[in-house]
Amino acid sequence: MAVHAEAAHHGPPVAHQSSRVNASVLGMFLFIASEVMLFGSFFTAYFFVRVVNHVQWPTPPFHLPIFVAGINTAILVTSSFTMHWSLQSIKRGNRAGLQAGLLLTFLMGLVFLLTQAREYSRVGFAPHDGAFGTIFYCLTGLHGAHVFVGLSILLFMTIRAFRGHFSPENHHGVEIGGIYWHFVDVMWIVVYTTVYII
Amino acid sequence: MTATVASHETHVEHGPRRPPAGWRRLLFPGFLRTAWMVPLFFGIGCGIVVLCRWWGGWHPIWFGEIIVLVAALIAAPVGFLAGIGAFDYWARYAIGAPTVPEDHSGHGAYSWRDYFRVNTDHKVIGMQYLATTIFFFLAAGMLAMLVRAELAKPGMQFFNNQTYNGLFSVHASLMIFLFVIPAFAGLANFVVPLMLGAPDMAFPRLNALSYWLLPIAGTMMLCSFLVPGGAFAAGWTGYAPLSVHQPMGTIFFNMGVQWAGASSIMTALNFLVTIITMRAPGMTFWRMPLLVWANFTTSLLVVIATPFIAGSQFFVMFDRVMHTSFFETAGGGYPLGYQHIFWFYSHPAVYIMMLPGFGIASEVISVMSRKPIFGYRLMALSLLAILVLGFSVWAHHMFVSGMAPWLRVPMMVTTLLIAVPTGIKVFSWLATLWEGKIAFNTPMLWAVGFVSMFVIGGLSGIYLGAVPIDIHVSDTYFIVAHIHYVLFGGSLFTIFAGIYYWFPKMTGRMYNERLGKLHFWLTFIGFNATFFPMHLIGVQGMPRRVSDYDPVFANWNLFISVASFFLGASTIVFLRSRRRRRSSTSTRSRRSSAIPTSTASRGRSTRCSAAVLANRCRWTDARSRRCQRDRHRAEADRGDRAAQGRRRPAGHRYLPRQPAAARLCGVPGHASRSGGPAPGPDGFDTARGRNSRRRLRGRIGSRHRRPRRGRTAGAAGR
Repeated sequence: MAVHAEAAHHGPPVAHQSSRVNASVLGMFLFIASEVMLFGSFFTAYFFVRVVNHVQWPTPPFHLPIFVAGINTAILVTSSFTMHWSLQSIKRGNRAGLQAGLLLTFLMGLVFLLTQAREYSRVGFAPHDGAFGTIFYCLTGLHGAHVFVGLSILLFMTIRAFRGHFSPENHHGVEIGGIYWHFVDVMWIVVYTTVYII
Repeated sequence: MTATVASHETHVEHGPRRPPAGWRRLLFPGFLRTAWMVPLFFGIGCGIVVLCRWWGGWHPIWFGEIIVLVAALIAAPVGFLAGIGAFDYWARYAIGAPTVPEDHSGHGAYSWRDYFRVNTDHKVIGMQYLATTIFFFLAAGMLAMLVRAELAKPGMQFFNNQTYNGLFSVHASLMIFLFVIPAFAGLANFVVPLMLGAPDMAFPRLNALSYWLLPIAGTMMLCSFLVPGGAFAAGWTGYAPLSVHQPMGTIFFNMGVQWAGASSIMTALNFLVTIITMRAPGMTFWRMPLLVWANFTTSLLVVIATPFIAGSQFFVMFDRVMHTSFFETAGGGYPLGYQHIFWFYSHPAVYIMMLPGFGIASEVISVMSRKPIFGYRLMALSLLAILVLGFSVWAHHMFVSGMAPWLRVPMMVTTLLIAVPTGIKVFSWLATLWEGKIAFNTPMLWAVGFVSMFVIGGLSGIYLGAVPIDIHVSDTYFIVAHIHYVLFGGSLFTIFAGIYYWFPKMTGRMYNERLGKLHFWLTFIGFNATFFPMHLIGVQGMPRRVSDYDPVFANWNLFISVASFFLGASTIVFLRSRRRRRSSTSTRSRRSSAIPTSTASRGRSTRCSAAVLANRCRWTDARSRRCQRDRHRAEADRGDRAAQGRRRPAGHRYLPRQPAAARLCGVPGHASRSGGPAPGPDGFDTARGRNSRRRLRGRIGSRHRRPRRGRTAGAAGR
């Protein structure tokens, strides 16, 4: 009898959920912990250059476009709110809100990335121009890479949203991608503060 | 019957998918698709590099080193992964296409070919890990033999300096990144879900991906011998700025570490989520086997620390390729920063390489002494203490590096503090052995060998933690002896203990006990003969990582070289003892504290949550009324009326005599299959009869927990 019961169920047996946290959400948080440490290693390099070695910041002939980057920051922060809006929308069953929120988030992320690329081409120094340039490019570049990954995830989420794959019951795909996007956003605030403002 | 069952939304087929006929076969995940996808991705990588350089106006547009980095070491491996099918599911999911069910956990491998496919069954992945890591272990061992051949006599014999440096660098890197760390991950992959009563890991596809990153990393490191300039030769530590100015092989190390690091981060994440969210009903954290605790702690270390080595290798690569100034003093960089960042990973990494071994040792020693582990909670807590302290000691690798002098003493103190939790573990093992009924079979020999050898390594570690001694023996063979006592006598011995211990579980067959023991003794003798004298010549000042040495050390070095060849030869016995000998006892010949003996070894996974728990109750929680209650609830959840009917009266401390595991796991004819007596509910083989179990119960109850003599005596007399 037991054998029949086993055979009726295809695939692996259903796992027992021993925690209130959803497995994928927990996985994303752990991944983010790991990402934070990766940023941590880059910030350690920043610390060595700026605090231990007293490199002038920014090194004299160069200067940082604090204002443009500030606008850019505002755009990225806003995108976090639209992301939150889209998640709340789908939780309430508002599919149009989900789609609009994801599209807006994606577009703002794209604008951020393009502005960043534009900044690279106009900023007037290169990664090989001393430790200041090195740290500037590597920290913002590392963050840019994360924005790129976040944009890819957003793109996939948007495609699935327009195909109607999310519902009030099934929105983990939006939630998990959203957590990553918020992380990218918060990380930028840290990078902007340390590299541009301080 | 099965056709009438409504399929779930993600229908999972039985058995591996059959490749289609004709040209469509080229699109089917596997090595055929890899054969054209790797060149394709290589081409794409080249295209990206050329396009970027043309657009940015950099000359020359075709620049070999960057092509190798981007196209060969990043794009081509991605192509390999895509070709073999690691991304198929995700790619379809991402674009919202209907996902194709793959062979999934519980389906396992049907032929040897399935081990060469992307397989999501944790048991298959565990085997893949072990086979791969043993391959790289042998390769790295060969390199060590070459190193010792060169060192057999003073003067230069076979290699020039650069090649010699490459040999020991690749030896260490392979042993660390491709053997010790992933071998533990492989063993844990196999046993942790079984111990938790989980059907599989939390993310089976991620699990498969993290395995397939390994062959990439290993191939990369081995292939560095083939590029102009030879293999990376700055040691496995790859100190900058030295490594920045090495030949091209260094990039192979940098990228190899990234791939292996990504693999271990993903595995660790998977373990953590599995352990947190997929424990069987009633399997609380404080009932988990110590092996699971060890892997939990290790995974935390990996997730937190590994990004730092990724960062350090990125910096070296950028300094080299993009001429940044992370470690170039001319541009304002800070060379010592590399060591700080590197050791912030690589000191925790020595615990990543050791804690799972602690778990295996706890498992083996407890089972083979027929006693629950002594001080279970403290054993788990000491793992956590090592985790926390492990992050505060990195600079003890840098006492002579010229770092800030005030950093030395705090680092010395924290280093010595780590001896406390480690000491707790060692004494707990000894206390477990104390008055146990010890079975000195092969796994136990390795485990006990581990305890003794690890103590030697640990003691020399305390020497090295003290600043004055460290300054004296820094960069001498004393360090080489220390690291090999810890990693060979520690990690490798426990890996062998684990392999022999779970070999019957994994393969369904018994290893050759006689050859296993022979393997242990040959290795044990060879190991000590090789590495113990290194302490002596180290204290006398023979420098490490140098291909030539003072003739004063000639005799000892010849002795060490001969001993190391003996040690290398002992591995042949290991390979030979794998030769399968059919065993009538099969998986049930192995006593186990944590895996119910009836859990299927291959093929379908079965969920034995209540049975798993029943076992754990005996081993961690002798005051087990609450544990028993949870177990009965778990049984009731499954609607197993039969088990409930036969339940002992409430408050009874022991398990029903019939093996609950057999009923719960739906293994038909479990008791009668072997013809002999059924294994006891605790997984013991019953060759010694009921009386020995009774004695054991008395011991568990009366000595190691709150004494309740009256009840115990009553239970035994009933």
